[in-house]
Amino acid sequence: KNRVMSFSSLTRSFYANQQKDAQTTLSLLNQIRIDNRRESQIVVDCAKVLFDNYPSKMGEEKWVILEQALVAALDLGEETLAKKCLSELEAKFPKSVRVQRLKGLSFEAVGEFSKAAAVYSKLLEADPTDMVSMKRKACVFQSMGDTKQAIAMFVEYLQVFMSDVDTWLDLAQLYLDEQLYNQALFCFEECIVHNPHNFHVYIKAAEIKYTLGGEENLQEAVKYYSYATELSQTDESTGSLRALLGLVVSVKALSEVSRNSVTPDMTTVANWAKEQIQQIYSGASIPKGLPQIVEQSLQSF
Amino acid sequence: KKRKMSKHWKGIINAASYQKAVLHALKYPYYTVNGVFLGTVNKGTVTITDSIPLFHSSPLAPMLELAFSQVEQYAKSLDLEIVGYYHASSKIEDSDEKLVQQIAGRIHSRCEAACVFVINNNKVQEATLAGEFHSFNEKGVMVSNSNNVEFVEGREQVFSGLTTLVEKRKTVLLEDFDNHLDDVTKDWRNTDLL
Repeated sequence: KNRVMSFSSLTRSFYANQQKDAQTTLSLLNQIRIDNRRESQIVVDCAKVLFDNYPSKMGEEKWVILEQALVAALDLGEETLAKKCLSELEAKFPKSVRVQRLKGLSFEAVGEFSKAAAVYSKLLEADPTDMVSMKRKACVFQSMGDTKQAIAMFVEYLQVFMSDVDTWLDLAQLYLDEQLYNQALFCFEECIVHNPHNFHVYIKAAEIKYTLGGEENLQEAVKYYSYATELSQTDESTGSLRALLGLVVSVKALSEVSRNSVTPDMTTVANWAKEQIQQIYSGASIPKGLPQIVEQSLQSF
Repeated sequence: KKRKMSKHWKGIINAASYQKAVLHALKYPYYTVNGVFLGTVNKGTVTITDSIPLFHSSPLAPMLELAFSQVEQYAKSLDLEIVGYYHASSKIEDSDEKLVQQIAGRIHSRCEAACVFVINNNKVQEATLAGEFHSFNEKGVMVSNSNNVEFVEGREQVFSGLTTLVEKRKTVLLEDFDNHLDDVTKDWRNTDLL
């Protein structure tokens, strides 16, 4: 929760003033890197402020900011900014693998897919375990419309590096983009095996089970949402809102498919979840009117 | 509560509804985004007066159903109903046709004159219509129908207004249902946004 506040408040501060100060700009860029957020418009806005007004204030951060700005610029089609960043990075780090990958990314962004693939292939020749380049090469195939090939590359990699949770998650997203829900579910369940304490993955698995529907899947959804709720409880919070809401919604869905499958335990837990949700919405900074909307909506579940 | 569809379908949409939808797509150009339209229906004419941004992730059933339930409550409080849906795929050349038909079809089952706006990723940064409006035929299938959609304030004003809003970075201030689930102080109604 604190990290969300930090990014939110820094963003608000940055955009609040016409005259942007270096410190806020640097802090915002830093927070985005720490949180690993994809906020390309904000990054480009910050980078332009720094490059135009405070070029000397970046210090040692200059190179990591150039990299961050390059990726964001490519995301938004800001060709001039991207070219500037890439040429400065190439000049400073001529033999760097990391900069080579950014060059590949630059080709991808303008649709020069064979040039991009060539960059990545060369890197993979030098280091076949360069999984970042492998993933970029897979993305090239995806961009060219060959999702099958992209998926095949991920699957081949995962057969060797089967505990690479991040890559399982990337593959899951590829499957979700194609509405291949069972395959996505398999990936999330692999993540659960290797990372049984990560509640986010239980939530994703539950969402897919619910979407697939039917008595058995809904029972599993209830189970996964329960795990997620338990795992997400901390001293300050009684659990992730998504997990709590998911729990309520899936018990209800199960009752509609098969009344008898809803055990007394499930009903108890669903009612408990409703109370936790009401508690969350009785907090101080909740926008006016939302608690009532949530209350009325909960009644239908 | 199904209304009898008249022979001629017509859509009327105001600046705020259109602009919020496209701002949502522009806020997350690299994710699939979706949302619903609120408004009223009179015979065959659907009048869209607001849009509610929902998700910026692959839409899955449980949170979608939850969001619909809450948005319905909100709509009721304003004497409105859910009358449409908008969608922008994360992929440039794909429009997620099947998925859109699935989700929008559910709205159509309760609102025959429902309107669906499918955003075209190739057009979304230009001062032009950023996609295609659809209505539903007798078989319940979405059909292109942008020619029968009228902008209350006039297209030019709406599109140039949108350019201004983007320059003012209203995308940063827009909050969707996904944002709200991560931080309950974020308001998906966006009543103060424009």
